[in-house]
Amino acid sequence: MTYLSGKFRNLQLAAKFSIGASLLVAITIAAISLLSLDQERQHFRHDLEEQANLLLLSTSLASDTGLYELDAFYLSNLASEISGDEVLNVRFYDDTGRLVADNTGDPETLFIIEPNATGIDLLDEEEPLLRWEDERLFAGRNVLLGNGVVGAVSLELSTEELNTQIAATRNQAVGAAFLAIIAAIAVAYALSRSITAPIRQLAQASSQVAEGNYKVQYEGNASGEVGELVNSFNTMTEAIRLKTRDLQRATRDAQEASRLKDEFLSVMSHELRTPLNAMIGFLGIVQMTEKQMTDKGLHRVERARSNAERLLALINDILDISRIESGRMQLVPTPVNIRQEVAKLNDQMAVLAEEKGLSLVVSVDKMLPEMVTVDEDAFTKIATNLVGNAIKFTEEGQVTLALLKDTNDWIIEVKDTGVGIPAHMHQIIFERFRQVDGSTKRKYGGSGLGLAITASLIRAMNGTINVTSAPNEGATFTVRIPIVDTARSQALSRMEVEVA
Amino acid sequence: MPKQLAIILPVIIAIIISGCGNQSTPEDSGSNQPQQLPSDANLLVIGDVSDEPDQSTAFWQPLANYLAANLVDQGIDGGTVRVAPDLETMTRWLQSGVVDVYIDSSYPSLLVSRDSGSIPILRHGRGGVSEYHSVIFTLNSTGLTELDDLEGQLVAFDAPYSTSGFFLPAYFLIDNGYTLSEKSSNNAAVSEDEIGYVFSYQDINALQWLLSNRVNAVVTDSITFQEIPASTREQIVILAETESLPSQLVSVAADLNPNLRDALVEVMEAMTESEEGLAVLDQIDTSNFDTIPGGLEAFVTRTNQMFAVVEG
Repeated sequence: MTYLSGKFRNLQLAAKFSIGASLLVAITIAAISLLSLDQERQHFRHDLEEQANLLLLSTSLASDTGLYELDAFYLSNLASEISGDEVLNVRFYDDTGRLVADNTGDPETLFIIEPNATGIDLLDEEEPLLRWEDERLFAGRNVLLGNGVVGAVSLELSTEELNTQIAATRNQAVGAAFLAIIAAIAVAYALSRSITAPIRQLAQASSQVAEGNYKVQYEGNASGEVGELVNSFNTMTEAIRLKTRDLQRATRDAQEASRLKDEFLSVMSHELRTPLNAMIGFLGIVQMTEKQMTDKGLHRVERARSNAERLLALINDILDISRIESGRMQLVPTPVNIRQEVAKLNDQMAVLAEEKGLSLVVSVDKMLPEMVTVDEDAFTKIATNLVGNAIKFTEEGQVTLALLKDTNDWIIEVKDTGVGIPAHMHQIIFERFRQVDGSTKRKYGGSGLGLAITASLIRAMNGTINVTSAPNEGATFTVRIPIVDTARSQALSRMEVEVA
Repeated sequence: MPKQLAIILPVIIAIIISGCGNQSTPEDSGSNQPQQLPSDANLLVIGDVSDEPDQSTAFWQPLANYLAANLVDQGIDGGTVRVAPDLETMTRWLQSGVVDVYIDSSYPSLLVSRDSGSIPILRHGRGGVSEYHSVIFTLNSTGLTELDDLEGQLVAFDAPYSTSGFFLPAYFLIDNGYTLSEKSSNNAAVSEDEIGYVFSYQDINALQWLLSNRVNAVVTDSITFQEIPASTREQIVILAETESLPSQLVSVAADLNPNLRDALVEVMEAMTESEEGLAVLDQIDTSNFDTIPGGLEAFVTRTNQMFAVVEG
C-alpha cells in the first residue's frame, strides 16, 4: 500500500486526475450496476414466482379429480407432461400427505406407506407456498375439490433461466460499465491534459527562468484559474527581467566605481607615500646631521617623523584592505623557513616590547617542519599585527608568540597579559576600523584595520582565527592554518617559476 | 416460462376435457379405424390391439420386416403391422385373413383364439419375462392374514382383459370357492359372503389404493410386486399366489398355410441365433420366442378349464 501510494504520488498530474476520475466513475457505475442487478434479480424472481403461482393453480385444477379418485396413473402422466427443463419436479400427495405420483415414476419413492412431511405441510396451505432453494423455486399448495382437501401438489421450478437472465443482465452491465470507464478515462485524460498542458509549459518556462533566462514568456492559450496563473507568471518574469536588468546596470556601475576607487587609491597612495617617504627620510637625516639642534628641536623632529610613519602605516593598511577586498591581493605560498622568520620577527618586536618594559617570549614547536609552505609576507603581516597589538595593549607582563603543530594545522598563538577584550567584542574587533571602544583608539592609537587585514589574510589561507579574552585578563589569539605539503608546493612553485 | 406455460396449459386443459380417471378403452379410441382391411397373400401382417396405432406400428415393424425377409421362400415379399382398436376387431381380422400373426398377453390371446380360432404357437418373453403369476396381498395394518379374510373386503384388480390382473386371480379365487362381485367404485359396499373387486386399470393405481387404504387388498403380477420397495414389502402380507401363465403369446390365424406357420415358428425360435435376429429382439424388448412348456395341447386344455371357471 505504501509502495502504491508512493508510486501514485510520483505520477504526473494528468495521470493522477485520470486515475482518480476513472476510479470515481468505476465505483459509481459499479454501485449503480449492483443496485440495478439487484432490482433486476428481484424483478426476475417476482416474475418466476408469479409464473409458479399460475402453474400451481393450473396444476391443482387439473389434478383435483385425479387426486380424489387417486388415479395415480393419470397424475403420473400429468406430472410427466408438466415437467421439463424448467419444471424440474412435479409431485402429488393424497389427502394424508402420501406421495402418490410424480414425474419420475420411481417405485422407491412412490410406493411408500408413510406420509411425506412436505405433503403433510402442504395439506394446510390454502395459499401457494413459495420457497427459494438452491438452483430452484419450490411451490406447493393443497388441492381442493368442492370444500374438501383431496391432496396437495408441489412443483420445483428451475432457476437456470433466471440465472441466465441475471447473468445476461450482469454481462450487459459489465460491458456498459467497461465502455463507460473507457469513456471516462478518455474524457478525464483529455480534460486533465487541457488543464495540465499549460501548467507543464509553465513548469518548463519556470525551469528556464531558474536557469537565468528571464525573457521567457508563456505563449499558449489558457483561461480561468490557469489563465490567471499564466498572466501572473508572465508578469513575474517581466518584472524579474526588468529588475535583473537594473541590477546588472547597478553592478556594472558599482564595478566601475570600484575600479575608479581602486585607481584613485592607487594613485593617491602613490602620491601620498612618495612625499611621506621623502619626509621620513629627510627627518631622519635631520635627526642624524643637525648637531646644533636642541633637544626640544630633536624631540619635535622625532614627533614629526613618528607621525609621518604612522600616516604611512595607515596608508599601507588602507591599501592592503583595499587590495584584499577587491580580490587583487594574490597570495603566493612558498616554502619558508619558519624559524628564521620567527627569529627576524623577534628581533623587530623585542625592541618595542622592551620599550614598554615587557618581555617577548617566542617559541616554535619541535614537531613543526623546518620549511612551511606559506605566503611569507602574509605570515609576517599576521604575526606582526598580532604581536604588535599584544604589545600595544599590554602595560606590564609579557607577550608570548608560539608556533605549534596540530594534526592537520600549524598554529600561531599570541598571548598577552594586557587589558583584555570583553566577550561581546570578540567578533567586532575583526571588522574594519573597529576597536574595543573609542577611548581605546584615543589611548592606544591605530587605525582599527590591523585585525581586519589579519582576519582577511587568514581566510585567504583557508585558516581560522579566534580569541579568548576577558577584561584585565589578557587575550589569546589562536590562528590555525592548514599544513600544505611542502614538497608538493615546492614542485608547484618550481613549475610556476619555469612557466614564468 | 411463458413459452413453457403455452405448451403445458393446453395439455392440462386437454386432459381436463378428456376427463381424468376415465381410462380410454380400445373401443373408445379406435372407432375411426377401418373395420375391414384388404388382405395380401404376399404380405406377412402382424396384428396388435392398441389405442396408439402409430407407436404400436413403429414398435412391431422391425419384427415384421425381419420375418418377411426370412420367409421369402414361403412366398412372403414384405411385412407390415395392423393395429386394431379392440379384441373384437382383431378377432374379425384374424378370421378374415387381414392379420396373420397376433401377439398379445395370454388372456386376450386366449379370448381371441376362442372366438376366431387363432392358434397359439409360441411363448413371447417380453421384457425378459416368459411367465408370470398373480400375487394377492394386503397391508399388515388391515389385519387380514388369509384368503378367508378377504370375504366382505374389496380387492383392486387391474382390468377385465388383464391376465395377471383379472384372469388368473379370478380363476384362483373362484376355483377356491369364493364368490366374486365386481363393484363400480372403491366406496361400494361388499357383503360378507363375497369378495368385492374393482378395476383400477393400472397396477400403479391399484398399489396406491392399497397404500392409501382405498381398498383392502390388491392383485398385481409378480413382476410389479417385485418393484415394490423392500421397506414397504416388509409391511405387506401375501395372501395368495396363483399359477403361472406365459406373459405373452404368439398366435396365428386359423387358416394360415401350415407350411408358412411351421416356417414362422422355426424362424422366430431361431432369432436368438443371429445378430440380426438379436437386434430385432432387442428393439421389441424381447428375450426370445420359444415353445409353450408342456406343449400346445396341454396348454389349450388347461386354459379352457380356467375359462370355464371364470366365465361360470
